[in-house]
Amino acid sequence: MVFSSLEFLYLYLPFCFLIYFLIPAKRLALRNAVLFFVSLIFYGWSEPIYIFIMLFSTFVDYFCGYNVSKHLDESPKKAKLYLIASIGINLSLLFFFKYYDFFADNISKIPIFSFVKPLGLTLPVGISFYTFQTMSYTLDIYLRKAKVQKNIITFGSYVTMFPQLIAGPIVRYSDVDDELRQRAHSFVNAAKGVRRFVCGLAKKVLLANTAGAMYELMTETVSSTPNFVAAWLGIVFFAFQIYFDFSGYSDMAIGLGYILGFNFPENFNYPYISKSITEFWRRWHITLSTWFREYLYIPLGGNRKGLGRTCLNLFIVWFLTGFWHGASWNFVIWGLYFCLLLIAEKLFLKRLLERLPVFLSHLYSLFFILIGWFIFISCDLLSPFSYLSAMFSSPFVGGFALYDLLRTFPFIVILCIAATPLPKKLWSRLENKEAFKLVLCFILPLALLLCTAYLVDSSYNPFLYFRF
Amino acid sequence: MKNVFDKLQVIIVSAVLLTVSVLILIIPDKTFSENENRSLETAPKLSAETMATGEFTETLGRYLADQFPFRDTFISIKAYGELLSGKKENNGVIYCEGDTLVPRTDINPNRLYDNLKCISDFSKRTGAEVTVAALPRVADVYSELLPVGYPKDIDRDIWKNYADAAKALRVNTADVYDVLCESNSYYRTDHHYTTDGAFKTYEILASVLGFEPFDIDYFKISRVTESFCGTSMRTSGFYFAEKDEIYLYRYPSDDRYKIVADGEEIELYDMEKLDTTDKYAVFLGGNHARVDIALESEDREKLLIIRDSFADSIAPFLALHYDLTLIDLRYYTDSVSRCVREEGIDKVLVLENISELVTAKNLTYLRME
Repeated sequence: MVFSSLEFLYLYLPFCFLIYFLIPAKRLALRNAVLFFVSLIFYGWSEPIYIFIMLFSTFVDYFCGYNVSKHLDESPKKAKLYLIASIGINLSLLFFFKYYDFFADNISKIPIFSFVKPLGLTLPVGISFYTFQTMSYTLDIYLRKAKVQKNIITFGSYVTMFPQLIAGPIVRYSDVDDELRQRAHSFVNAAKGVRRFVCGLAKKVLLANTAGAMYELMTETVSSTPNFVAAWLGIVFFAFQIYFDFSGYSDMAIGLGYILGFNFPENFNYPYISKSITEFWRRWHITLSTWFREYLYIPLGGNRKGLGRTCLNLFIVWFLTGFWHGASWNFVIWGLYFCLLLIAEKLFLKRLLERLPVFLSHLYSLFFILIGWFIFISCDLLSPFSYLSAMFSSPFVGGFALYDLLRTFPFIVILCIAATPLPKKLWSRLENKEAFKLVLCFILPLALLLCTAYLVDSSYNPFLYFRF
Repeated sequence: MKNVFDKLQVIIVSAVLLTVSVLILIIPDKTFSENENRSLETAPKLSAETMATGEFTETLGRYLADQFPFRDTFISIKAYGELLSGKKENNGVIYCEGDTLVPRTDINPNRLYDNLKCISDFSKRTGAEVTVAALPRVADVYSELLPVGYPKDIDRDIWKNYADAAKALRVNTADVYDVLCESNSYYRTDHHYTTDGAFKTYEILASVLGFEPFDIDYFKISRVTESFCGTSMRTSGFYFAEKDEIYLYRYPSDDRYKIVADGEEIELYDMEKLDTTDKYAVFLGGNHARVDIALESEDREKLLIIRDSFADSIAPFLALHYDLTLIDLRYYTDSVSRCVREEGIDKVLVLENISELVTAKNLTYLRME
């Protein structure tokens, strides 16, 4: 199930909040149990069979985490063994469901391995998100960043927690360790959550979906009448779609978290205002970058072992980051493309950029980000090469491109403004005014109903992370 | 007092969610949507099997979207929202001045030449005298209302290419484009011509097919509805636009024909359709694979029409002069050539919308022996 659906908003959400809040706040363990239970329903919504993966993950990581903690002091070697077991099992799950077909497909091209056949399994939704989350539990215990959770139900509620289960933010166990044991439910937090959720929903439904529909339209125009304007407009619309979709999803997750008494980490920080690619990756999908930094880059030695080793470490991290986004070569290329840019910036480009006028460094960043998105979508395009050639040659404008550009211009302006911190600045000026709070009492339900209208007439409501 | 607005915000939003959920549960299901002209999803059956395969939840999703309380209002709100954000269109329909709803025309005319070739080969093979009348689209007719930047040249190019190809293949054509575009005789909310447009087309066809058309005074014109929400209105959700009127051009004894549609006897006008949403179906009762209209008392020339829905409203006029056979290649599975041979057809008229004519694959069925 996805948040931006009628069944989530009008069946699932009222149902699960009703039972959750009917249980007295004092019985936190019971509330956690409810959370565990409703999250399993959420997860099993479209593929009930995969609930077993969820239960399996919960059990394995509970067991391993318990043993890591038990042996950590007297026999670290044993602890390490359980840690490796946990990581191994999680990664095997991920590999089996997500990457097996990719490797099978590639290997079978070698004549002697032609007997290897892809399995064609449906990818369990969100598997890349939650395997990373559950791995962080044993890792955090091993790194002494969190205490062991002895209640398997409470631990299960962390593993399966529906707000961030299928599209992040990737919540590390240490982020919510304390809140699983003790947390406050209040109207102030709930209101904060409701505002954040509605904002995220609007981003997803009103901005991302409409931008996505325009992106699809542009790819059609490019394939029938290739031209420069349509090709770039298509990439720009995709850039807006994935940003508002992804950050909208994170907003909804964070909002739901507030309502349930959790504080999830922020995931996006206006990535498109970056002045360099290095900055972009500090602002884009922050929890994923953090995960790779904490559990891979730093353990590999980070940047403390000389330039050569740093470059190798970056290569490993970005190869995997790219691969994490999908089992397809273009994602690997996408990751390595950013790796190259980051190394270039580290070596000399950064100093050069700092001397340039600000608008040029913005232009530089946006250009390379957009080219990145082209690589990202290239596996979905009918003919990526003719799309690429439309971006850099061919007629300037043609087909419906000019008409679509003109009519969506106001919408593009809205998208641009919404991608900057301006709305946030306006918000913080108004936030504490009583009159504004009153107005919000009307804006919130109206925004919710407007999103509902868009969902009822949903000719276009994709789930972009089916591959992640 | 401090958090009163916070409380209020939470309570109002929860109330909206709960109210809608309750409405979903208590409002009785509809089985058919008049507006969308399709059956609606009804409550999914709950069983261990449907649950395990995920079929239950899948149906539930469609069911919710179909049975959502105030569905049409929500769809209208969305359409209005798209206009407000400046997009000028919704679901591929452009909202133009005077409540004129124009479907976008981005089509790939890749079948233009092939289709005309099929027609010309068919003419050669059967020996029947074939005429093609391509009908303009709403965007051609109301082109002056289209927003700035709309690629009208693409639309015009299609017509030019059509004319060139027809000439090269020596296909006989009836040119209705100018007359229909100048007289604006199309509905504002639907993609069809009005009955007036059908009459004008009939007049032009008279000179091409060679018969003496009846004068407009021969017909008794009456308005049969003023609440016609056409296809463009229904797909776009622009329900706030003014509705269309439908006129019928009746004439003496227009009920004496024997009309058989797919084995069933029908009449020229199915007045019951005026009580449904798809009011254009008043003409011959809507789409059929094959319709035969004959006057049993006389022996007349036989005209075969390769049709789309435009043919339905012109059929009453042409029936004054010919025994008609209307064949829709989207549904007809038999050989048209055989039909021409067996029925002793004299003339064939391909009467289709230009979009259909340059994109549809089904004209290749004309190649069937």
